[in-house]
Amino acid sequence: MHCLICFNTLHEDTTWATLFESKEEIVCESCNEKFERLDLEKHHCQRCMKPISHEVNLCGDCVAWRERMGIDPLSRNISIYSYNEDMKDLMARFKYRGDYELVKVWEQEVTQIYQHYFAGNDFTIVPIPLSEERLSERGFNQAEAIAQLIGPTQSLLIRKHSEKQSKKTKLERMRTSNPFRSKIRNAPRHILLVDDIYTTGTTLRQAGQVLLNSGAQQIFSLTLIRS
Amino acid sequence: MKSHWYLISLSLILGYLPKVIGFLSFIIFLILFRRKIIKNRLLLVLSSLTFFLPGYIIPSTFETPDIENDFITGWIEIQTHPEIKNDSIRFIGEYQGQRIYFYADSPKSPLKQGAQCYVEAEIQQPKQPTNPGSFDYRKYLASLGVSWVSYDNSFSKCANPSYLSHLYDWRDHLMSITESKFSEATVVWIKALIFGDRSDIEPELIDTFEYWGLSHLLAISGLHVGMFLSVIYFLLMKVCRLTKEQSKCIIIMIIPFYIIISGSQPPVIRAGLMAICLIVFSMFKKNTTDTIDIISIVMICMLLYNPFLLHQMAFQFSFAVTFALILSKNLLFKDHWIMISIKVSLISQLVLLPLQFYYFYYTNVMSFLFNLIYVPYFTLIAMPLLLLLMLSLVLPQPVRHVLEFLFNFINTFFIQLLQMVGEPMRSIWVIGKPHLMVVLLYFIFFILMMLFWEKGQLKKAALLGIIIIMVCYGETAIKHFTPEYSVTMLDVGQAESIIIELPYRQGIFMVDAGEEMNGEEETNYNFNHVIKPYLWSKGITEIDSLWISHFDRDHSGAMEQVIKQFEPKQLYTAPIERYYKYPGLDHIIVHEGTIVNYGDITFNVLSPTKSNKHTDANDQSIVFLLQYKQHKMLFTGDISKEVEQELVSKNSIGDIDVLKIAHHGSQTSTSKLWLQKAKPEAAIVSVGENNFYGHPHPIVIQRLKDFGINVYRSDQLGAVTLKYKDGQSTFYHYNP
Repeated sequence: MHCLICFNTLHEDTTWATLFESKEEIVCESCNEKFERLDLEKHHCQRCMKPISHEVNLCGDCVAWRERMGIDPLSRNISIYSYNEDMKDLMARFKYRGDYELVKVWEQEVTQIYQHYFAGNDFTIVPIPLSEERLSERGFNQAEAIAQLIGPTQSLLIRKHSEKQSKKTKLERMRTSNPFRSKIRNAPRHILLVDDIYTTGTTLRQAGQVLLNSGAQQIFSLTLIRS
Repeated sequence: MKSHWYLISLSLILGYLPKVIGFLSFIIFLILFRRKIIKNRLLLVLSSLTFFLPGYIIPSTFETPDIENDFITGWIEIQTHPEIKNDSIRFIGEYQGQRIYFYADSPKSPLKQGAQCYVEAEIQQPKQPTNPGSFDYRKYLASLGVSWVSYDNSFSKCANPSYLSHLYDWRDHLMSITESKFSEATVVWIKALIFGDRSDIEPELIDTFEYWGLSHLLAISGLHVGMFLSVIYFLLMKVCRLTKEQSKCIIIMIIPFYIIISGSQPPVIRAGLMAICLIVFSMFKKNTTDTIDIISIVMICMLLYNPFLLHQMAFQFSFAVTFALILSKNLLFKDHWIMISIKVSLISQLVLLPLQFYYFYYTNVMSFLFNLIYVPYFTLIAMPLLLLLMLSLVLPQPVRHVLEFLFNFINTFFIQLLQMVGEPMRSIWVIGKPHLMVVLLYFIFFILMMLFWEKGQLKKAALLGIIIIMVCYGETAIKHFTPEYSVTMLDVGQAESIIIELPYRQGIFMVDAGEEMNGEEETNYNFNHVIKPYLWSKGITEIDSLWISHFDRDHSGAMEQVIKQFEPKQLYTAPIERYYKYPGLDHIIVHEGTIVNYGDITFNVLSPTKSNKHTDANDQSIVFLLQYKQHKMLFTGDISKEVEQELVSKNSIGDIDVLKIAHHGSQTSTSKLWLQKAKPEAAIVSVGENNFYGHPHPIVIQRLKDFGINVYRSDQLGAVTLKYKDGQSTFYHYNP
């Protein structure tokens, strides 16, 4: 077996725990150590998981969202990893160079976090879609790939083609017109949006707003990374 | 096969177990490891083969030869390096496929390892223990693959010593240099910790170390090897300025020499071979070998080379601890160093517990704390200092003296500290010799406990921790489950000690605790090697009362130790002048007419009278009738015919079941009249083999025969046990 990330031979010393049954590892120890789990940090924004100082519960961005939109369409976002340099490289490999297999690296963590925060409630899992142009360019929707780790997904949204988010400034991103449309009129009550990265939260809020407008009552989101 | 070799080595060990238990545990093994074995058919084949292997490779020397002794002449090959101890030379020689342990006087021609010698020798089978729980010399030698010993022999025409023998000569030479250059106090420790020869350490100190579970430190262990190699590696890199690769190559070459210099004990061989493997692997592949594979392969190789090694205690202890610590890798890193030391000490103690019980019948619950202090002391301070001392042989004298002073200063402190603590009785836990199944059960639960601990499921781990302690308690509980009443006459040579056990441990009584009289010397041989091991092997740590018939050394020599170690509540003696005072002990004087009841048992004292008018010490012995339900046994101490006559005339004895023959079968006791009156069915005689007094006297033996009385002699039968249940009594004896 080789590590999915660095391709080195996986080397697992036998210990008491693996005496009777070997662990099925797919990532080597050193690659695993490069991931930074967000929930291990002490204090973050209650809504978007941005690490913030201890005095406040909401980050400035989330306060701004609430002030601007009246009611924040996004009830809560949960992210798993921070966007460090290694993660950036890995996401580039996953998204832009199409290394679909990498999704398995996060399987354990994603399902674990989902179990911890969302299991038990009747959530409809909705991945953020790509526009048709982008989908044909990439070959797969990274958000869909991540969402499928949790369970069956429903595609309730359609996305217009627009410029890549990552090419825009923060202000531009927060002000873009909503690229999403709902496919249905009666959206399920509880929705869990899934995406790869939470940057400003615009995309998730736009998608959430559309679903709220078509009948959903509460929007949560699970994102792999909080940048 | 990577990461799977431990399964092979495990099945090899299971192959050594007795047939039924072996098969049972092999099946358990297959079930436990099914997930690994199913995936790998080669593994199934190999582990089954290795399971059956010991049955073939352990040669027939294990079957005891029919003859007790023999005389041989012919050529032998000297297989081990002849060691000189107390003016005798000891080595193992091979004669026509049989391994013989020779004790020789200094012969004319030099004895060297590997040499062929012409020998004329009387050989005999090693002595078997004559008491339950005693050290089994025959079994010990069998564990070395030896089935004969020779004390009387002469060697000539020795030739062709092996190349190795030069190394051994060099070792002896080095040892004699150290003896001439250092003070005696230092030499003792250099010999023990550098040359692996602890014969100069005082036996009392060895006992204290053993008591605290530290005796592994007096032998060279894997830790020492690691320390030694690190020091050398450091010197090569920093002082000689060699590259990593060069240093590693040199280390690999040094290891075999070190193994020989240090006396080639199994732990050193194990550590040396593992070090070689680890270094070689690290030079060719990077970090892809599983350490557990290395230790497993080393173990398999050592056992294939010498299958008897598995029976050696040092081998078992060394491999058990190393396996456990390697498997605990994840528990032992990323933690504070204090926590790591505590964990290492705890894991080592727990994995050794069943072995400790099996060999020593007890464990010291404080051992783990003492190891925390003394393991670092020996490996990090004593060992490096001693190595420096050895290296300082080439340095100017003052340097050597300073180092020696430093070592002795520190060492004396640590050793005296230990001696000051002494051997308090309360810190040991005696459970006796555990059954093999209990040992296996313990290991299964232990492995599961470690598994849950590593997975972080601490509640389950704690529960299993409780279970493994319960397993040990279970063993003591089983030992309490003895439905018979029994009386055991131990074989204490020309002395006497008899132990009475009520069913279900309701009462334990000892009648006499004698030591042999060896001229002027007062030894505690019987207490240390017979009485204590017997009681401890049965899990007995306290006795209810001690009866001393009279105060001759062969009846009372071990009294003090018995009182201190087994804390009887009462001491019964005849009317004497001295009053014995020990905490928690009542000294009770008994005489004609005293009756002591304890549960179902009655001690009815018949002699002496209250005034105790006899002048002879033997005649002052307590005589009492011991009655348990319908079973009557008469204890007579060392009384003579006169006292027998008195008792007959007083009409105080009647039809009894068993008679303890007075005064070891001397013809001054056991008169015809006495036997006519007592009418015993059986008689027991405690007497030493080939004793100086010629006891028991043939006339007495003939007399007993004439009366049709069965005689059980400790010199012929070893320990003799009478068991009585539901009106049926049976005699058992320990010697075959």
